[in-house]
Amino acid sequence: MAALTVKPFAVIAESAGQAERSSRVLAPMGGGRSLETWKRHIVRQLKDRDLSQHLKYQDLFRFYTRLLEKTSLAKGMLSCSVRHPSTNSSTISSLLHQNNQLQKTMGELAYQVVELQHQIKIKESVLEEQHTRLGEQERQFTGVFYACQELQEQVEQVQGENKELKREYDAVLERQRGAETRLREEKVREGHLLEDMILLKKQAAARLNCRNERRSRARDANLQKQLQGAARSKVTVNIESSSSARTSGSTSLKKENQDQDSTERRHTRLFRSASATSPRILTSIRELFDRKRRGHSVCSLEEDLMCPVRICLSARVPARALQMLDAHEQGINAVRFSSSSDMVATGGTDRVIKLWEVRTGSLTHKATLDGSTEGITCIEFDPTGYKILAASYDKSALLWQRDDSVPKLTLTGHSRKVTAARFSSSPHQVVTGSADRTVRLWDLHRAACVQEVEVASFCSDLVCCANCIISGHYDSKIRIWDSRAASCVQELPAQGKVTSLDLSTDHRKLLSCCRDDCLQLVDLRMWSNDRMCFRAEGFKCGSDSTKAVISPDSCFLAAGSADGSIYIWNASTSSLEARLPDKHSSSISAVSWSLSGEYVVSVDKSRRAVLWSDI
Amino acid sequence: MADDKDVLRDVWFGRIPTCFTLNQDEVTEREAEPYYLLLPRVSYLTLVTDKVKKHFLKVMKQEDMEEMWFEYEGTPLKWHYPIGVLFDLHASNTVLPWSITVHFKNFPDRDLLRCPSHSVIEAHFMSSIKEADALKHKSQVVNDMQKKDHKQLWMGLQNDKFDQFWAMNRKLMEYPTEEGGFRYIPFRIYQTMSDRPFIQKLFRPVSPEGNTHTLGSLLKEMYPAAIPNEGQQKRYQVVIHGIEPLLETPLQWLSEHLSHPDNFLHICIVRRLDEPPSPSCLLVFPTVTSAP
Amino acid sequence: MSSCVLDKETFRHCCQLLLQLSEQLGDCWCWVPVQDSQDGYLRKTALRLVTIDSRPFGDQAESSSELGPHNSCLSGPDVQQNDQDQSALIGSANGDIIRGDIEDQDNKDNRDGDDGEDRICRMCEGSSQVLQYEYHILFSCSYRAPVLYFRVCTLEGRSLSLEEVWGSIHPNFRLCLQTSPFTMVTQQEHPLLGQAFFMLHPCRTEDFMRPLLQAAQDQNRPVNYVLTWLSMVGPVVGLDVSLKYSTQF
Repeated sequence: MAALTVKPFAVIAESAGQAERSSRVLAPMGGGRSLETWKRHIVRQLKDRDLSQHLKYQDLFRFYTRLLEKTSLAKGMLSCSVRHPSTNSSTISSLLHQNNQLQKTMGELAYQVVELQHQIKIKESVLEEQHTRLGEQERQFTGVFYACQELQEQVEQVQGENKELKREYDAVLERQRGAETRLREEKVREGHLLEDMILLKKQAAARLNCRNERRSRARDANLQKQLQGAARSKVTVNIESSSSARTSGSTSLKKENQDQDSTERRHTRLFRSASATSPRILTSIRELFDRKRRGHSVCSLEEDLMCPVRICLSARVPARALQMLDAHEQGINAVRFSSSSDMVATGGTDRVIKLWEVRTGSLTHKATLDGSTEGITCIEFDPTGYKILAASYDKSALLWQRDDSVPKLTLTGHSRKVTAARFSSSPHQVVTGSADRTVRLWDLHRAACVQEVEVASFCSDLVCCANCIISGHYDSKIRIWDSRAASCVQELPAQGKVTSLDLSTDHRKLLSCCRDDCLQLVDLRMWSNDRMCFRAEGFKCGSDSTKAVISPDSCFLAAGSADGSIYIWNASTSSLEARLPDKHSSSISAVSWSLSGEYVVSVDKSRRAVLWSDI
Repeated sequence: MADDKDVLRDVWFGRIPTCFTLNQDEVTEREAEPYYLLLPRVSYLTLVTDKVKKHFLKVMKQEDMEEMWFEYEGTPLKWHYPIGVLFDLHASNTVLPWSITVHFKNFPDRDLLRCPSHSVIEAHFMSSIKEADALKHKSQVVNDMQKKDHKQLWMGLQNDKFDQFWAMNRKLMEYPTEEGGFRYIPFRIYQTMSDRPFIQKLFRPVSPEGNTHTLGSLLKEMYPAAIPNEGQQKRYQVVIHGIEPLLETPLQWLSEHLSHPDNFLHICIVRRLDEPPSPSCLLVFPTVTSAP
Repeated sequence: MSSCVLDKETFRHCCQLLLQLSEQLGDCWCWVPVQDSQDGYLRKTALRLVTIDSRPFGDQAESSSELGPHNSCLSGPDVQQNDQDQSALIGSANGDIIRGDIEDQDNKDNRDGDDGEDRICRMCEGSSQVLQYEYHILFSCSYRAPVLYFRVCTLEGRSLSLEEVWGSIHPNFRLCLQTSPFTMVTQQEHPLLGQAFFMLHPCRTEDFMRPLLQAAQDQNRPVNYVLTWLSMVGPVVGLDVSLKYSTQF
């Protein structure tokens, strides 16, 4: 049995030796590199065998056999003729002839034999040649086979290397992934931390704001209380009261300069202390200061102007009439508080504007401004309270300085009565609206119209805010204009002829009064048709120019009715807050709310003006 | 396996160019021309030599002809061995064509079997197939065959019809896959060095350890001398169908593909000639010329 | 069924027993080893006076009265219906060999063969002569059974042909060989000597030995396979096995 368990390598070695003689080329790869080597060997050897033993002889043997048959046939015939020699002499010649022919055939056949042998020789040489070629090719094949094997080995090696690299790459990739995950986590944590920090900062800021606000409110309230206390003490000395009023003014000034540095603030304090002795100097300095500031930035000026309003967080709803007086000789069309709330201007059909000083709950006539050839339709103070702008039936707008009764400028150009005149948000510019269906922009320096906008309808009133002009029209439309492009940006619908417009101090809300006895409050920021309507039983819009106003704190609306009562609505609830009847005997044409929120003045068509307050 | 089918075809269609010459001592009417024939390796001499007999009949008297027998260089040729085996065993290094002497007298009774008709060959052939199947399948396959199947095998061989023969022989070559081969490999190893004509023993295609037996392992067991020791000059050629398969060739595959139609794998072991290769050797093994 | 087949060792063992008995009984069996090998065979030579029946087999069968019913089947082996396919084939082949005349094919060859055969038969017709028998018992590893090889020659040294051998077989056995699957006689090469011998084919040996061996096994009786087998097949070819072998055994 030992012989059965022949070790493979021994067999291989033996087989290599065995194969050596017949196929030395195969011997080196007899080691089972290819499972089928033995089979290929057999197939090839069989082919070789057939080539040498079979194919080579096939044709030869066939030829030979044919030849053999022919010769045997010939011989048979020959022997036949020999065996029966005919006695007949006549047949001898034919036999001879036959013999000749046969001999000829024999000759031919012999030639064929020679030829065939020649062919055999040629074929054998060809065969020899092919054998040598075959051998050569086999040698080549072996060479190629080795090369192939070598290449395969290389391929395997490279594959192995690749595998190694891949493994490394995978590891690195894995590490990178881990790092990325960590990075993400870190980022998330960072985000959380940042959020926490922001929250904390916000809270801190809110707390700071809150504290600041409380502090400032307390201070304001304190101040107010002091003021009121001072007002209530009814000090007889005039100078005292005026100085207290001036103190309030200086307070507003102080608010105006809120964002200025402390040194400047100290200066204003110095001025304030000085104001007690020379109020005029203070005013002049303040004017200078304001002008200088306005030259720099309009927006900041306006914001500054709003500041006193902010103090007046709650406007007081007037409850009783402090004073009633017949202010003009004819019906009064317009009334307006100055921004400092210490001055009221009224204008009437009697072509003059009267300035009234508001002091301790009463109106004192201070000055009369004339120059208009027709009735006054609209009055406005500039933010300083120093200039007064009025629109007139005489197709012009006029500008006065407070201390000069002669108009400084007369702006002419409209073809019909001017219904509204307002200071524009840009300095030295005014906007007018007119019944001639135009809105015009005037330059005060040049006293000339710089822009004219054609409107489809009669303009009854207009207001200005930053970069836009809002105008109300008889065709029941409110139009918003871009003051720079002079183009209509938006049209807001109204229920009837628009008689007046008013803008809240923060420029956010627009109040319009229409002939359908309804007040409309539109939020300008919303750019929508969302609006609040204010109606009241008994309220009736008396004329095409009835003026309604928003309280300085934007909480209330006030308008005079055709029945001589003043109606006050709560702006947020749209409910009627108060109705003040019985002081006017005719249709109220206009009302004005002081910026301090303390007073309301109403005027009517029967020359009467009434000062209202909550006290 | 296209290769395998090719191998079967090559085995079947193997031919040996043979020159038959009449023995000098025969009484002839005139000189007998030699007769050339391509003998099928897988067939039997007496089956394919009718033409030879016919050829020599032309020059001889009927009464001078006894049973025809053949001789090569003094050795009577046993018709009951396949022609290929006779050639490989006695004449593998001869100059081609193989020159066989034809006798019609002095039949060597001791050495040769009588072959009065083709039916004797058929009986011998079928008996071989049966014996081979007894080894391969305990006679099961051959016993399951019908008489016409046996006839088909025989007719396939007699008429040289490869497809006809293999359509039936295929069944004899089947084996259960789980066993990895036949029960025993029917083989005979011939050599001329002793009186014993051949070696035939039981040998399985797979070792008890499950290793596939190869031609090498068979020889190691049966005829170790045929395998040259390491570094030693090769003394013997192991020839099957005129070729020398590699010793690592699996025995089962050899049995399936290189067996003769009688289903035996006949392996000849021939003493290798020491003299330099003669031209005949060049022809028999043309690859030798390519060796450096 | 392991007991029904013979392996080499058992064969050798049986042979050894047989040789011992043969020695005791003065029979002349001997063991002949083969060179360079452990193989070998039992050999015995014997001289017998035999009457060779030269008539063709069919005639022979006809002359035998008890074989009458079988006439038809002997006229052509192909129509032996009572045989299995397998044995029919063998039988037919065998029949062909013995009769040597086949009508269907290869007419010419057979004609030649017939001529020779007829000549020999004529020569030996009716004569009785002394023949030298040489019996060999070999082991067939393929069939795992013992095989009986034998050859016959005249005292002058001429080998008998198969036909002559067949003629020497007793007519009763002849029919047996034809119709039963037991065995048959063919000419074969001696696998160890490479010479032409006659052989009783072993392919059915297992079949007829099995019942015997089983019976012996059932009765728990030791059996010498080779001896038992030889006593069955030997007489067919004139090899009588003495009863003493069995009684001694």
